[in-house]
Amino acid sequence: MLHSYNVPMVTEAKLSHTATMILQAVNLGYMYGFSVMEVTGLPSGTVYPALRRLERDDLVVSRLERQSVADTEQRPPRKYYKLTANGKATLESARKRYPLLSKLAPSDELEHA
Amino acid sequence: MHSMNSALHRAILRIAGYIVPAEQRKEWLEEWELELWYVRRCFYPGRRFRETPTGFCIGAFPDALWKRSHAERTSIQLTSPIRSPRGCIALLLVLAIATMLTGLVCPQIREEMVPSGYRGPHDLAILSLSTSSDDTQLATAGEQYERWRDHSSATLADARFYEPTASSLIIGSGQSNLIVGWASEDLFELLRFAADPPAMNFARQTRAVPIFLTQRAKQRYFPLDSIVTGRTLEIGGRKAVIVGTAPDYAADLPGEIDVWAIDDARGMASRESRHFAYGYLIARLDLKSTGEQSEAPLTASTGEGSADTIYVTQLSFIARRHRMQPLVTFLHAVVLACVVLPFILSIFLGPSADLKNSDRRVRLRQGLFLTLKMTLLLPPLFCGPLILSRLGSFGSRESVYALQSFLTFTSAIVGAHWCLWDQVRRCPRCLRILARPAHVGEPSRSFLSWSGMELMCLGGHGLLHVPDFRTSWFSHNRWLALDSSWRALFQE
Repeated sequence: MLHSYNVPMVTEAKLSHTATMILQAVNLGYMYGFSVMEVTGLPSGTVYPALRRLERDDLVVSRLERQSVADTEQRPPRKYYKLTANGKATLESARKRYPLLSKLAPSDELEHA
Repeated sequence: MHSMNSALHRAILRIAGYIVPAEQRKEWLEEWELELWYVRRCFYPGRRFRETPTGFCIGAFPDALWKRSHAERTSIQLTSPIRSPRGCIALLLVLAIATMLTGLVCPQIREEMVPSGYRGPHDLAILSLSTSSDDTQLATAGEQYERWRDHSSATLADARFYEPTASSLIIGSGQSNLIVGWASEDLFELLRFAADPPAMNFARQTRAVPIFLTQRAKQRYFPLDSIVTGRTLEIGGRKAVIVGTAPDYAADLPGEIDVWAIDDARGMASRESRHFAYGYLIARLDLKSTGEQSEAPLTASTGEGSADTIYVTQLSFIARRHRMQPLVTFLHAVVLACVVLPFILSIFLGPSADLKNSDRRVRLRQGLFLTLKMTLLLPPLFCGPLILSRLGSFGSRESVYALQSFLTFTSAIVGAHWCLWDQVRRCPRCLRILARPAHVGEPSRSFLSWSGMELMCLGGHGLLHVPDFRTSWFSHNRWLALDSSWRALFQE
């Protein structure tokens, strides 16, 4: 006789402190790679691969800014990141593990994105 | 300056871009160049953002590596040059040429790879109590010198003695250990070492020991100095003056001498009279009586009985042996690896494909490909360990050859294993690496149903079945040849 067990798996991504910090920064409105580096103080070699991992794990989504908007402000277009619903839930639970992260950055320093 | 920095940053990003899979490279590069614009604009001292634009660009490498490691078909992209037999042979050819050129660039290694002929005097010979291919076995006790010092015959004359001793060398504030060959002044006349007269006079006036540096010691201690004659050092607690450089053939004299020192008559007499003194006897050989081309060891006798018979080995003969030593060491290691290889392969290589029933031409092509691969591996096998064992090594000749032998043996095992493993994973028809591995079946409790890996030739020549477990009915990989009617289903 064959037995099969279908147990629903609760999957919640466990984030490292660095990944949580980056997720927190994006949530605070630092929505592109350079600004995340600026607010977290992390090097580019950490931030960009981490953002890609977060996107792969469906915690953030990215979109490239329209060229017309960038042209108006006379700068190159930016790649913006935004938290998904899954990302928000993961960040919420990660904040409990890393309570000091809530002090990451005051929102009044935010650039208008 | 600004444009130079911009060019540097772009170059760094482009180099990193080559790590990213080709289909994602353009987009990836654009993204990093866009971000670089912001970094350049915002980088100035005092700002919270402290990473320099160059540091920012260097950070592109971890990101590119992440992209590469998470891209689909990564292994195919990485191994693409060796997937085809031509690519594989071309890669091995490049490796062979690169290792040979690397060796030829360095003069010391070039001399060992392509040895020049012996350029020293042919009438010098080492006297020893036994013949051996090991230089240390040519050493004799000081008492032998007393017997042979005044010997003069039609064959031998002017026997001289030198004693190698380990001493410390002090140059400026640095100290190191080396081998000093102590001898009387007439030995150097016999060896035709040319001393610089002013330096010799200076050494006599200051009562310093006159010394000759060997080429090896000169490269080690004075690599940048073209003229070293007249310099003062301290050897074994005694002040010494360099009076000249020993010619190239001095390296072939037994004892692996770094520095030749001229001892005064009293010092030399005490060395020779000590019965425990251990050194080498060298004498002038009469080539008219022995024949100029004769390099085989001879014997000579004082004429007072068989106990005084001594072996005479020409220095040119020892030199030729030294020049052949790297090649002999290489051949020994390769032969040893060939002996051990079958045992190692049976453990690590696993089952090979049974091609007994395949076409003779197919087997011939496979054999030729394997032979070509192994042949092309020989130059890197010779040059690689030769270079590595000589790099920064100032150990004894024996330790250098032992290291070369070990490296050659290990490399030969690894190289041969790779050649055969590479052969197993190729299509027997077109010799391209099989692709699209797929696991078929599940492990059976009774071992009666088959489970294993199926690999496919992208040219449609067939499928290779590799069993998970070797069983009595499926002990080898099996090649399932597909006829031409299947080709339409494949890429090519």
